[in-house]
Amino acid sequence: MTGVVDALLRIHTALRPGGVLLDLHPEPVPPRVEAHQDGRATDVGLLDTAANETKVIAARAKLASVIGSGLFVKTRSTTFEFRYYFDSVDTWLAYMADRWVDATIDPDLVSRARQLLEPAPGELVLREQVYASRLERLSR
Amino acid sequence: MSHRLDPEANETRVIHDLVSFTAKDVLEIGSGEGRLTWRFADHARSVLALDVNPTRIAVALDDLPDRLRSKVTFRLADVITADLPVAGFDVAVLSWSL
Repeated sequence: MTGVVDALLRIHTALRPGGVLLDLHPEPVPPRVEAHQDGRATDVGLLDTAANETKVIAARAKLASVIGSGLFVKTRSTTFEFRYYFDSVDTWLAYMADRWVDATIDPDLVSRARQLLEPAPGELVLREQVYASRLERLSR
Repeated sequence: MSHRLDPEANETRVIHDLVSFTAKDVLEIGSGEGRLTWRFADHARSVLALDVNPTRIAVALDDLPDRLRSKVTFRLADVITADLPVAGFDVAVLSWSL
């Protein structure tokens, strides 16, 4: 998406009067990584998503400007946890390389994950906080 | 190698709590492989799902269940340049695309 404001203007035009925009995006906080084994969760560390957090904060400012211009009004919002479960460290790393290109993975984080998961079966779990909001279309 | 995403269905619970998709015409922006699409499409009247990644659109089309083929359309497009009807949708979903 090349421009948040342009996208929101297009969405406003595409929505019928009284239409609703549902926005889902990650909270600008680093996701936590855990090792889950035998019903027990062990903290591995935090993922470095600083680059994406900066983008989210900038996009939120643009969304706020569109709301301020009277195109939409936020009527409800909430935050929830979205969890990713990986059967191995390598599965996690492959997923990150494909989907989370902005994230920086500390080699020490990978080492800790391997130390925890390779001796005994389990899952690597990524816990991401997600913000969801309902915005109602206003007529200008 | 396998992974599971949101097996607790927290996302599904939240989107249906915030918005009714029942009998609605839905525009989804950033649909990817359709992960979120499958969580509301059964309820909608129609879904136009856009994504700029051709590989992910291809996966979504491969995974599109027969029961949804008559009402779900995946299109390789950006919302800014896509040919969209004016006032054609009841709900728009910004799917992790802000």
